[in-house]
Amino acid sequence: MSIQDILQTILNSLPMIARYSLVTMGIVLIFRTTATTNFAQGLIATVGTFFITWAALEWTALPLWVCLLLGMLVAFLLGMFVDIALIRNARHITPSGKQMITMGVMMILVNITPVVFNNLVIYNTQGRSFSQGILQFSFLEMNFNITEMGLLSFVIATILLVATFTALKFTKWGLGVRATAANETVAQMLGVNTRVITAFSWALAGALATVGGFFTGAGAPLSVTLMGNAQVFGFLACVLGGFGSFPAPILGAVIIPLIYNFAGNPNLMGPNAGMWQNLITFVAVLLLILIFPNGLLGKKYIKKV
Amino acid sequence: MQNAHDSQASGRLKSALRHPFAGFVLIGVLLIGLQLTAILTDGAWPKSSMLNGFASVMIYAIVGYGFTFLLGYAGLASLGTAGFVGLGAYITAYALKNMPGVPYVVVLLAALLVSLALGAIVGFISLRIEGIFLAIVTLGLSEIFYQLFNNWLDFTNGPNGASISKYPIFQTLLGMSRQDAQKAFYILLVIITVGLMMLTYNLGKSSTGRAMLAMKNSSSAAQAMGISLLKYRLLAFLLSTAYAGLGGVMFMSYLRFSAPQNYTIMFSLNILAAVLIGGSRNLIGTFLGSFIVFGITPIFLQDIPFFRENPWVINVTIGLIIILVVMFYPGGLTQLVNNVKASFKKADRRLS
Repeated sequence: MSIQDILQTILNSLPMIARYSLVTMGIVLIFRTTATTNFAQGLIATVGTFFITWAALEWTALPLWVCLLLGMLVAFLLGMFVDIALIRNARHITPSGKQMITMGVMMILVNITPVVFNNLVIYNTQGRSFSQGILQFSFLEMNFNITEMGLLSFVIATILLVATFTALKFTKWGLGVRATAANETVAQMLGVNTRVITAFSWALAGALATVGGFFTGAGAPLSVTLMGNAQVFGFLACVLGGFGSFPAPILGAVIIPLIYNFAGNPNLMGPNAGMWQNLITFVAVLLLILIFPNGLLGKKYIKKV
Repeated sequence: MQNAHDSQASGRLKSALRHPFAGFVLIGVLLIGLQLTAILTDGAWPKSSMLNGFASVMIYAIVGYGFTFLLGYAGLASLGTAGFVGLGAYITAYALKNMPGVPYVVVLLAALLVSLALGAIVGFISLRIEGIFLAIVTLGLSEIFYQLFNNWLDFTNGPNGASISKYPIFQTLLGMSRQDAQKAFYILLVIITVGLMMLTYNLGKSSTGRAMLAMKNSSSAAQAMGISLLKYRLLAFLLSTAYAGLGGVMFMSYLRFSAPQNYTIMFSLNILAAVLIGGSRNLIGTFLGSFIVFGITPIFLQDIPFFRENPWVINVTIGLIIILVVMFYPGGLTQLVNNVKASFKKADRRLS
């Protein structure tokens, strides 16, 4: 493996890093505010993506980025609905009970989405995607390439994540989220409207993940399993990085795509690499989790009796 | 004299009916009765598709009983069930196809042993991972199994699926015809299901089951009472994987076909739903839960055009039921039955 190959593989990982970190950010926002892992995260994003595709292909002639914003809005509302209708009323239930509720939501969405969108066998935004081009450039006398779409997804994801982190750090909502995450009851007593904070976190999680879904679906046939891998890897990224803080899961979402792309590199892993790529990544990530059960950046959680 | 004898006999009958196994045996008798009716009416009713539906309900119920140990007793939510069922199924398919000389019992034991070995690994993982993260990690594990089933062509025949041509034992060893072998295997399946119900019930009532329950309610308190978390979590996983492996062997032996698409996260979620709907620890409830989740469609709804054309309706309903049970009715069907009983008793008292 040459240096050029290593750098190119890292470059190839960027779009995946972008998509996964958006999904992961949503999962961790929800986990910190409601203490549950949202199994419906990927499906909410899928609904948003289906909406974008339907809007762009069958409904309007509006520019694609407007459709993207509309899709984000749909997922925003859907996420908020799940929180207000279900999770808010399940506060007395154990975390694993809440987890099962989100699994129920997932089951409903998986089955209902194709029906709502009228079994569209959609080939996503054919001819209407932002760009199909491939960008070539050379650096230190080595040639690299990246798809324009991939680069765009990375730029957009970076902007969105930086904006989210800034909001967490400097806005009143961010302060509220951090207070709720630290201790919901105390936050409530100090006048934080945890209901609004939580609902907005769920909504934002849906909207962010939809951007990930949009770029996952770009140029490929759509199906309800679109975000299956992103969902599972997003979770694993959270566990790998450590659920304890906001940035740590993003670290996980950076590491996993790197493992994935190196595992799929034929120069490194042989000609059949693509076939075993998923398997190798799962095994590697699970091993890492076993070595660091509290996450790479996590602290040991001590339960008071 | 005669009267006294009668009342003694009826008293014995009453106490026999009150025995916890009575319900299990009743289910078994009903299931065998269905098959016998089919034989007597020469297949007019129930149709073989209906019987196959009940057979798969039994297979899923077996898997569900194993899951009971995890969810109902130890309080651990795992999403790795599908992988272990698939493992049992594929080992059976591979062994029956490529090693024709090996007896079925050996295949069964081999499948169980492999499942147990892997279950032990998962059990150890569970000790290092806390509560709700376990579902995530086992979900990852189940993906590993899926990738193996899909890509290890020599072992699983990949996405095309693996199949066996003959029913084991009855068709291969005893030389029965295909139809007879199917009926015989159905009855074997009933016997295994009822036997496992009894075994599971006894295990649940034993000190093992009680220790697991203590662990579910508070792992710290259980530890303080001298219950080894290592031992009982591991045991819960081993039991559940053994049942899942057995379920897989039965799946392959009876349905004789399996493809990687059978073993996605949806399968694990369905098992979870079945156990949850039944009331987590009640075995008859788990059977009914498996019936609701896996049985209603092939047994009844297949004949109704609306449901045949809109298979999503039933799945959405199951999703809704999961949410409703978790939020409002954590006892599931068991709680429902108890509540109905209690309200009857109340009405009774008011009348008298």
